[in-house]
Amino acid sequence: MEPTDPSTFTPDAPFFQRIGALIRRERATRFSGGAIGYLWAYLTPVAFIALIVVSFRILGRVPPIYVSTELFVATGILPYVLFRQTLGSMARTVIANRYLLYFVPVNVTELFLATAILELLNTIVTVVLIFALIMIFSGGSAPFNILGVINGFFMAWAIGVGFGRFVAVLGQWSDTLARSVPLALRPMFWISGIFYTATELPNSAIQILWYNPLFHAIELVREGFFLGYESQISSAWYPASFALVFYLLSLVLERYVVDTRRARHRL
Amino acid sequence: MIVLDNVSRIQRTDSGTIPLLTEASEYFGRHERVGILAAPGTGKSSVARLLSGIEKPDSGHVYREGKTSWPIGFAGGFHPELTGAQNIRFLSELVGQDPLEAIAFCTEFADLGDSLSKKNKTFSSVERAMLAYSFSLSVPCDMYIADEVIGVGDTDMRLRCSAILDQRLENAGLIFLSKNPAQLQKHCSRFLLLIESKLVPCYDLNEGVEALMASNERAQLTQSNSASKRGTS
Repeated sequence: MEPTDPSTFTPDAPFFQRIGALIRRERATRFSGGAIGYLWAYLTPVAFIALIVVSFRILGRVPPIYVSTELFVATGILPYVLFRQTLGSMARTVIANRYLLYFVPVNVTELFLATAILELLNTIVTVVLIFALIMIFSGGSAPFNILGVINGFFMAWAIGVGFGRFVAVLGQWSDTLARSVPLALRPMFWISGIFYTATELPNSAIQILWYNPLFHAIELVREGFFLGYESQISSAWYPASFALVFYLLSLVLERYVVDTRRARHRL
Repeated sequence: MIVLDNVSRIQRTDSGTIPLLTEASEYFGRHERVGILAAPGTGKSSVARLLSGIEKPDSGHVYREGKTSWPIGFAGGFHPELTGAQNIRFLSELVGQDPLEAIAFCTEFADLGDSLSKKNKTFSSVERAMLAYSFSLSVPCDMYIADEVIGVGDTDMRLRCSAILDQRLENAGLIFLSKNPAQLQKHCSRFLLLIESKLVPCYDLNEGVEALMASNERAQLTQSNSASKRGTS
């Protein structure tokens, strides 16, 4: 064997540099429409909120909590949007960025991590902006327990990351499953308490909807936001364990898909 | 240095699995230029990914010492919506190369000065290939892997590719997988044959080509045999 001098080897990029580069690259490529594309990301939740507020007005519905309709709807829709966008981005990143795996040491977990962090950062900006706008234009007091609000949003994000990773791996395996997941998740908009609260529901409905982890996240946000509001569906450990279980399941499924060479998208 | 220790790799198709590499063991030194001759569609790219560390084998181990390149000229990491310079910057940060150094290298070598500010999707195919090629050689590695692509562009360009590759190989090894014996002869000094999923030494490339052709004929014969059997039954 010939002698080799390890000091001449070029070192790989350190972990945090890789994550940073992946996040910046993802951010630069996410909205191909440039500035308008970027604006779109903020307009989507605003449009959502406006639409629901208008339908509240038309139907003559008053929020079950004594706050402005805009604020009430925002506490429901923003965690929902965070969940859906995180989930969608997780599923997209493994397919859109799979060729980055050619640049060892980048691996799949890093692609997921960068995407999840970027979604969280984007959401912080969106959430602060939208709440600030609502406070300015329709009044309302600041959240009474800001940590509670953060906890709720964090849970919505965690479900998006854990379940999203699972869906992403499922999508690598089967095209049919990848296409059916968004369809299966359509009802989430109606069953997560976005425009109503758990306290308004009959007991029988609570028993079923309790198993929807996103409902917990949304009610956690409201409990933190509105002084004196308490919900029957606001456990923190349920969405946290839901996210963790699906995250771990995704690791097992990924192992199977990779080891048995079943990935749909070849490198 | 790259060592294959009893490495196997299968491929899953709709009709079952086929072996691409079966229990291959081989040593590739840091100052060697090894050519691997293989017929089209017999797993060259998969073997290249195994050597580069992009994929793991189904069994056995691939040991790597030092930095191994990705297959030279690989352009899949370049995002169409980013400019040439942006692409190089992000990818440099991913692999641990100084972005400015990489950009300077690509500008000088590939003569892409002005085009680096263009979006990747507006590049001509030659420009795109040049950029990918020069970027892969801008990163100093201990082992370079080439999967069919060893130079790009016209004759003049290819000469420059060879020159810069030779410069890199003064201090690094090369594993070049190709179906083209003339190209292998030009760049390598030791040869292997990837035949029927085995990696075997090859001392004469002409004999290697004949062996591959004979193996191909046998495979077609078996195929038509089994097809005719199915037809009669």
